[in-house]
Amino acid sequence: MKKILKIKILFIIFEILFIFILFILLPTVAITSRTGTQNLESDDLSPVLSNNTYIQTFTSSQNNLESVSFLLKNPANLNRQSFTLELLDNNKNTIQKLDFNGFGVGDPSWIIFKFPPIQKSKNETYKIQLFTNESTDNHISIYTNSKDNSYVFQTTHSTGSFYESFKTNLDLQSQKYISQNQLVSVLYLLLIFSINIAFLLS
Amino acid sequence: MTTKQVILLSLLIRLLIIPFFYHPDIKSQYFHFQFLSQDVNNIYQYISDNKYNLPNRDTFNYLPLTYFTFGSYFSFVKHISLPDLSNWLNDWGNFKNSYPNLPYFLLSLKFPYLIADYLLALILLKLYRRPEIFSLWLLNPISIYLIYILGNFDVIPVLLTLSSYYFLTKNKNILPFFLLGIAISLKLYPLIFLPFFLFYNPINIKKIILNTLATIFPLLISLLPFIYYSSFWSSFFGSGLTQKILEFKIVGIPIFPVGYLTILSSYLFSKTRFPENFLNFEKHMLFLFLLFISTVNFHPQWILWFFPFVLVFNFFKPKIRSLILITFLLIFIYIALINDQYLFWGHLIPIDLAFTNTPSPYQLIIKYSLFKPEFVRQLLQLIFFAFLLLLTRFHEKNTKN
Repeated sequence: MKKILKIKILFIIFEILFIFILFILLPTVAITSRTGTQNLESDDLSPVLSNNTYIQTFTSSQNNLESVSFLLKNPANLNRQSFTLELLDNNKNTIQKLDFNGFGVGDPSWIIFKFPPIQKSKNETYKIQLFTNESTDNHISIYTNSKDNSYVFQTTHSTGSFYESFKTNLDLQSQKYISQNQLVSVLYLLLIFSINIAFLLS
Repeated sequence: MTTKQVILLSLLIRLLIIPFFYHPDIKSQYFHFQFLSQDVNNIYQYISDNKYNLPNRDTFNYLPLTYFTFGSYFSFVKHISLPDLSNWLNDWGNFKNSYPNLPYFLLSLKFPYLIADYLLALILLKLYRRPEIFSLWLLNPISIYLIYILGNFDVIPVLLTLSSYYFLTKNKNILPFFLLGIAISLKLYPLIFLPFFLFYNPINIKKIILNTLATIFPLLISLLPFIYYSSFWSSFFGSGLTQKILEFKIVGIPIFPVGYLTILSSYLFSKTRFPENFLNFEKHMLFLFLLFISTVNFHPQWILWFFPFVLVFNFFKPKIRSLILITFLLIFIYIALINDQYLFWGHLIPIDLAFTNTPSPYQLIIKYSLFKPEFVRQLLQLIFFAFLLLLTRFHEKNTKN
């Protein structure tokens, strides 16, 4: 009898631990990067021509900005041009620079421009510019949204310290819970609670 | 623990796992199954005709009975589930997995697997008459992973295959083969077991023909309306099992079929010479399982096909228990080394979408080490093959004694 009671108590402890690990600890520790600003709507493709600069302005939604990605297309990997991506701050100073070759661009693929996290990036405005000085017949193209003349891009930011990550995760989990169907959530929790009680009383 | 306690505990574990673990297969399968509720009877032709208008352009690679079975379930569940379930199934854009109610969609879609899982436990109990096997089936992490985390419908054909075996041990005629035929009509893999089932009882040509017909009957009936459509055949041959079985070759000879025939011959030989040999069928299923994982580039959910037969050895053959345990630990390492984000952190998308940004073990190994994960996987398959040789040697010795 005593052994069974021990198993039951152990299971309840294990259950709480499991929920804590799954919803709190694991996302806090394992997630090191989160998506920030996104512009994923696209209805057009623009060829990236030499001596033209393609500029996208954005405001970082979070601190620790660590990457900006553009969606490019290089049909059949024919393009072999050299390209430059530059991240500029509001005063047009270059903060980071990336040189890459068109051969590394897929059909399509995200070109991820990763750099050391910029700690105080929240609400700061940045410019990302793409250009090439070489000319070719086999252009790569950049996905665009003709409605507002913007380019398809997304940013990521590092989750920062354990405390920052923990706080972000708690906020996200609570937001997620609130946006779920409340009736189903309550029914689900009631079901879990009643099976726990039934197990303890059995 | 009492049976009631085992049921409650296992139910609690399942209800905590089902909503929060995801694999994209369940979404792509139900994306196709949902068309039955829109009165689409020929899914193969429908996809072929509407290929460029559908949000997901994958072909439907399953059998007609699978479509009608799960399509019927979806027609029912869509009336009682949350209204955005259909929106989620049809959303293959950038925000395809950012639905807050995703855990509850998973709960409703995986519910038939829960029923099949408990029925499986019941059949195992009836088959081997050991209450521990009921508890072990319901409380072991492997079947929970295979059924609910991978979330494939394989558990239904597995249930039918095991039921078929149960009736076979009860000396029933036709019924076991009819059930096996239904299992084959849902997913072709139980065909691998058919010869072992046919030769389970002493050889009788008339019975073998009748039983083969009983097996083929459900498959024929369910395929008949579709065999004239090229869209059906092209979708059907798009599935990977046949290719994967023949993939691994030595001097041009595919290893799995050769190994399979050797195991079948060993089974026939032991059936004739030692008809009363305890767990003879299960032993050969264990050999087949080891051959399969060592010579086929397998999908993780395929492990479930053999798992109920392999589990039995935990009680009856303690000597090989550790070997089986090691095999499963190595299988988990093998799975972690597959280059598929959705086989590791991707399972946790219902908890946080950002898990997709977290590098998988495969990506970490590629980034930080010199060796290739594919090499480690091949090495693991060699170990599985060594286990197979070791066990056959052990079996040979035991049979002689």
